[in-house]
Amino acid sequence: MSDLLSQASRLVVLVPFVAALLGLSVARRRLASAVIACTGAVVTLLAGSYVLYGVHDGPFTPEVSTIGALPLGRLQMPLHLLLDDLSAIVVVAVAIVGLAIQFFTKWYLHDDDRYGVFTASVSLFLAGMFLVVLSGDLVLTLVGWEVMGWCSYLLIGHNSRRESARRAATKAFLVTRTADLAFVIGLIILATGAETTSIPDLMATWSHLPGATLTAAFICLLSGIAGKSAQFPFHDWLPDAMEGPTPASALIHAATMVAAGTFVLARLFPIFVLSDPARLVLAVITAVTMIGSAILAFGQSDLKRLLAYSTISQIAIMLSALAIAPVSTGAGPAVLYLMSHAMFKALLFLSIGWLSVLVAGTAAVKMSGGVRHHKQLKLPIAVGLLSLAGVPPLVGFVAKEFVLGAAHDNTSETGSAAGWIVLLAVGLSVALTAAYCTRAWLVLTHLTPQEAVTYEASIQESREVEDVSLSKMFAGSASEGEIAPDSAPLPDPIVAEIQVEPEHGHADIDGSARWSVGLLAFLSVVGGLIIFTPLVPVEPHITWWLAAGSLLLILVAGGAVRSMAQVHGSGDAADRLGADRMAMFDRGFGTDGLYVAAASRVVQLARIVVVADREVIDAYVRGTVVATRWVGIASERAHTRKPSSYLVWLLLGLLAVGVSGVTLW
Amino acid sequence: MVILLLAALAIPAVTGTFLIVFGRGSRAAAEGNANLLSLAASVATAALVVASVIARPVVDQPWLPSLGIRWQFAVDGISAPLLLLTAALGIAVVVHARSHPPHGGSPTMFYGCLQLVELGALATFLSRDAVIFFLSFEVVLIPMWVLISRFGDSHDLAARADASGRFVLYTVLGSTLMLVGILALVQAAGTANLDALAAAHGAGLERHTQVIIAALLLVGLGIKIPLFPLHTWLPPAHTIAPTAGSVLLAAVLLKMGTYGVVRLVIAPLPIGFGALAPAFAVAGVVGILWGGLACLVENDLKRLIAYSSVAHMGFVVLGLSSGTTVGLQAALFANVAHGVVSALLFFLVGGLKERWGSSDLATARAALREVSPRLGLALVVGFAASLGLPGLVGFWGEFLAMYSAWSPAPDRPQGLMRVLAAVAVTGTALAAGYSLRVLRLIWSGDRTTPAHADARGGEWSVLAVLVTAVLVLGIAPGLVLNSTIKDVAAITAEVSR
Repeated sequence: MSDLLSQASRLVVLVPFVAALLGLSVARRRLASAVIACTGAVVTLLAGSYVLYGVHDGPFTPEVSTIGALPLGRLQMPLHLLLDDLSAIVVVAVAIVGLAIQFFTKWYLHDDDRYGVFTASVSLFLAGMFLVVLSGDLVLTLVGWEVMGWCSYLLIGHNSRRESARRAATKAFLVTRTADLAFVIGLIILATGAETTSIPDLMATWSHLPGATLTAAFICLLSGIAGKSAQFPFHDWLPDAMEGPTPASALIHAATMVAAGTFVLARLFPIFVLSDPARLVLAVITAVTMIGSAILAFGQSDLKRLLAYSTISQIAIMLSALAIAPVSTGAGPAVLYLMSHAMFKALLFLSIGWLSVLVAGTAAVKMSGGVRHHKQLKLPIAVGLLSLAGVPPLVGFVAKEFVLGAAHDNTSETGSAAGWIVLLAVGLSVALTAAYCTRAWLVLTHLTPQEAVTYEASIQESREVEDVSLSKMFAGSASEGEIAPDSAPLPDPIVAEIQVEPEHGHADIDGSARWSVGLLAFLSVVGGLIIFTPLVPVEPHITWWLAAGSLLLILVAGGAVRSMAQVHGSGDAADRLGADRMAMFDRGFGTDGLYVAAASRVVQLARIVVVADREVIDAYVRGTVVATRWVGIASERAHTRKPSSYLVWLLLGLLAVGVSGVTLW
Repeated sequence: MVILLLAALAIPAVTGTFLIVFGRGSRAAAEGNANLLSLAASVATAALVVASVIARPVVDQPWLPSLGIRWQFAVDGISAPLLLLTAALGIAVVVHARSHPPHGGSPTMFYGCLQLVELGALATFLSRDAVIFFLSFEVVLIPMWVLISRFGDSHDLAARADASGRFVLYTVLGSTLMLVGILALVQAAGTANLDALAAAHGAGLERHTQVIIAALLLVGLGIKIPLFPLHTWLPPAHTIAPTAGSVLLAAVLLKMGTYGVVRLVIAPLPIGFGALAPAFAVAGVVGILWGGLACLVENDLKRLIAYSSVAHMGFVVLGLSSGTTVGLQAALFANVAHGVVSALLFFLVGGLKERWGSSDLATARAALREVSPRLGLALVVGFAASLGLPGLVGFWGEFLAMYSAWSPAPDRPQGLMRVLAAVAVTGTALAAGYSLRVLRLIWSGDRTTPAHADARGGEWSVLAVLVTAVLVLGIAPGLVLNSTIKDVAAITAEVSR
């Protein structure tokens, strides 16, 4: 039994890895790629479910060997996997999302000539995530961590014929890699102190050694986690990562890369709680991130980017749970949030991706009225947004209440600054999340672009229009806002352009892709019930006044956005910000510029190095050539071909021999 | 059993000499015949090397009794991976040359030189006598000089003369220092036997004697590694050398330098090396940054990979300097890893340079991903390994080297070594920067003109084997580490847990 469990846990990592290799070798053949990827995902889910069953079924060996320990003298590196209730449940959550994404991709990229490579990269990406989740050794964690980083580069840059995709991919990898520098040092500090990379062993050692070194190690780790989880100040790669095809976004955002940091910290939670300064740092980072990115999400003119910023905000909530959870509560709330976010965010990305195929775009103006026109999407998107906003009884609500409850317990038990920061920030972010969810929903249920044109035209016939923000946005997309806000009549060409129903030319969605979305929607609705099972390590209780308070916040924020939207013809509440400000939101308040400035400093330094290499270091080498030549010329000059001068040299030589003979005697 | 080992050296020696001396007049003068003969010799040599690695025979015959120099050859855990690497690349360069024949001289000369380089490298890794080690080391230089100066890039003849002359003169300077160091070591220790020297752990040698000898050897070998600031011969040599020359230079010659440090400095002169290790480590880490930064703006692809070699060898130097078992294991692994990765990259770039007519990155080319997916795949794997992606071969050596620098041997300055570890980490970000820069410039993109042929036949099989090696050694680093551990533990004499 226990042996079978070990084999199953190895398979969870091995199957997607082998699927990736096989998939790559048949990448040109669509059908074979699809069969391999989907079979791999199904087998992984089965193996993962068995692991979950086995872990709760009875006694088992938690440590599972992989490639054998490496012989490194005093440093122990067992490279084993670690099974417990924490890793088992997350494996299943990731496997479900992975399965849904593989089946969805099969339809979504059906006419993409690089489908095979894409789906193989997805498999490899999942193998990396499973390795992080199951890892019982810091080095295996690092391997899975970076493999995911590399796959995110490949997936974001999938459409490498587009310059924007190439840039986004490079940016994502370089930003996360830079953040990982400190992460590597943090791992090395932890391993050095215990002379082992085995997570259980080093936690046993460090639990007796709280102090500055442990804090330093965790602050280093937090840098890498902030990078991969897109937290301030490394957050700006994630919105750009929307350049990747939607299934890639769903994968990166929902259950894998961005959530991996949460899992690593949850794994190390027993020693992370020993360092209050590191927990305070995490609380501050996440508080800044969750509010800042929720505000940014509201002002995005592209709904996919809105979702991207919402991911950043949600991951911040997830991580903040670890910053404040009391020792007795443990990492349960964070892991619960991880799983609930995995379900509803994957659902939202896949449904928005589906809609984007139907309306040929992800900009708010393109998607306007989308779910009114395409009714089959109404339910999944509604479930996703409600869950994201934290409306009871959906899974998002349950998870958020646990985070709030943990923060409340922290403030009442210890009253630490971190507890208050997180409690206030999460409370504020509840309102902000409800605001941008309401905005997205109102846009999606408003008039479609061609309806709007007809509508506006009819209004213009009857009276002078005060605010033509939808037409303004169309004009803006065509000619960068040259049209003044009050210019009433729409230019004819634009009317003509948008009156044409966009021909998506895409095959109708197939059954398995539809089922994938349905499965995620179902789990987003009922997933909250998991707290009543022993599968997640949380106490099933909810602080009712906190729940009532957050519900009130949601209603107020939603109502405010609704009234903002109603005064606007476009139905988009964000139009109240004005086109200039929205452009600022779209640029993420210029964070990208800071990254570019930092990178150009490094390149400047590199230019100096190249010059120094040629003009300083190599100058000595070339100098020997010049010196040799001068010595040659000088000695040739000494050979004057005159007997008299030779005789002088001879005499001088004799004299020298004589003098040395006398003195050395 | 002994015959296996001797034959492994005799075959390249005889084949190489025959091809160079008598080749021109014989039937071997034809391109195909020379290649076939060379291929047969390399395959036979490789088979014998594999057999020797398994059987571990020992050769021990007197040569110059008055000087105490003996023909001593043997295989141990440290040399075994390098011997296999050399033998495998010996085959690979010949197979690759089938589809990319040499230009500039007679084929017999080209293949003869390849055989002699292989001979010198194998003899270096096999020899157990310090003087024989030196002689074997020198066997490599002249054939390599011929490869660069006769068969190198002929676009700019002055540059070719400069690169080959610089290579041979600079490295001969290193050899001179090394010879003086070796003679001083043999004189002071009273034996030229490397095993005896290692077993003594520097017993009976004064501290200042050890320091002086170690300094001579480190500077001499530092030129070959090459160590910052003694590296400026490498970029021009790589740029000009033909593909086979670049591959052997990066994957075999540079390894001989670090191997020499282990055999001639760390093992016999522990106190002397301990005194110089901080400076050695600083030079290595400066090399990591220097090479990485230069790669960010370098516009010649072959020069770029040469500079990245300087950076990668910096990690090897850092591991060596730590004085721990982890550090030595890291260095030996990184040595092999760099051999595999740089061979892969130089085969690739050599092939690209032939297709493009130059290796300039500033010229717009067809994206490899669009027109030649096989070359594209190999390039992605090669650069992913080069940036030290975990799970590929480049990761283990670099990560363990940083760990070893963070927790060095007790007699090393811990504060300095930790600073060096932290600085070395930034080198991995620079590596990511230049690797992605190259991928963005030549792998991805929408251009499909001017189209070029994808890799096939011999070229593809060589690339595929190296890509596989990058993956296999990345997933199972134990293959190398388990081979080296016993002899490494003997050198560091560290009590393991």
